[in-house]
Amino acid sequence: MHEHQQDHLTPDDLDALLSESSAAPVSLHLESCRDCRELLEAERTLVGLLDEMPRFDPAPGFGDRVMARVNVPDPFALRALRTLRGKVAVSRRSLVFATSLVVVLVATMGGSVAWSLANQEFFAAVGTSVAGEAARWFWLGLQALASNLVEQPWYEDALNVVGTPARLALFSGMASLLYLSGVLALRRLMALPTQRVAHAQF
Amino acid sequence: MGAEPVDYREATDQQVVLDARKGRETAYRELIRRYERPIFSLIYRMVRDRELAEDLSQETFVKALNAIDSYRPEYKFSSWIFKIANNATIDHLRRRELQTLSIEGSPHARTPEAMEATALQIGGRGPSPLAYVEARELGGMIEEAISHLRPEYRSCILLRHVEGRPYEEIAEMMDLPLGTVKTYIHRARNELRKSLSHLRE
Repeated sequence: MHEHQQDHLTPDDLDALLSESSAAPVSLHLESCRDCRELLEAERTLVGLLDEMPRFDPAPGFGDRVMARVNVPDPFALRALRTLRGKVAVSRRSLVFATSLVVVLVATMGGSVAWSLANQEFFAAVGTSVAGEAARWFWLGLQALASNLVEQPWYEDALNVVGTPARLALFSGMASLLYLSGVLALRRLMALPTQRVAHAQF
Repeated sequence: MGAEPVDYREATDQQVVLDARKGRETAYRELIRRYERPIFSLIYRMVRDRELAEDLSQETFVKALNAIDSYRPEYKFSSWIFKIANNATIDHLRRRELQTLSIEGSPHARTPEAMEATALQIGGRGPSPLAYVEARELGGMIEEAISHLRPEYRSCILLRHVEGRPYEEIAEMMDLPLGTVKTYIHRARNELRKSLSHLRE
């Protein structure tokens, strides 16, 4: 319709009329063309009906269901990564330094693993020696503790209290009972709640 | 860290996205709150099955939010998420060939109860029972007419006239030239006018 006033409305003309921004020639044509006026009226009615169409809501809890499947990045890890990136990528020199550091670290670790694999007998000998020494110190400590205990003034009295097998069994039973009660109480305290706990979302 | 109260009422989508990238869960929830209705409505009208629409909407949000780092802030967030929703829906429709569904419910429903549960719910209650019935009938006829459009026409007309998106944004969302989008929308309006012509008589 742009060039010949007698032509009917183009889709662009219709769009312009629907958004109330048409040019003067279009309005002139409309005054003289009944077909185009009817077409415009029908378009206006249709667009009005479409505009009034309602929106729908998903079922309640939609956000929670989505969030259960979304991997929210850890802010601490993100900050650390960003800081590292900021420090390394500032200049070519810092980049070379960081690369050298990584190369040295990887080379050191690789060398260490290779040397360890090549000297397994050495590690076995060191392990045996350390284990023997640890066992010796353990028994020495145990002997010192026992002789120290026997020297105590209350040792004889304590020995008399649990001196018979029946008393020993009674004390052992009580101690076991106390231990078991403690474990049960701790387990109850640390158990997760069986019902949902309300949390604020925001 | 993720659950502290933050007021996003004045924030733009871009600002909320930036917060989400910092690992703030409230920002993710705000994006869902802003777009769950428009995205669900678009998909629901495309597939005509509430359960399926829920699944596709969830897929859309999960895909978008898990790839939030790949979103480029120079584009509108709405265009980006609508594009993901539209692609998921069109792909699904092409796979399942659900273009001509009945407004009475999902074609996969096997019982009357399932048909009722999946049927498109149209219109709200008007001031009187008669007005309610009329609005429901009119809404039903428009929904039915839209359901007979080609999926591409349906997406375009819903994005343009129900969601109020400009032509340029629709072209971006659908990866189509601007001229093609205009053509689709005009053809869709022509088809709808013809389908609903009896209303004017």
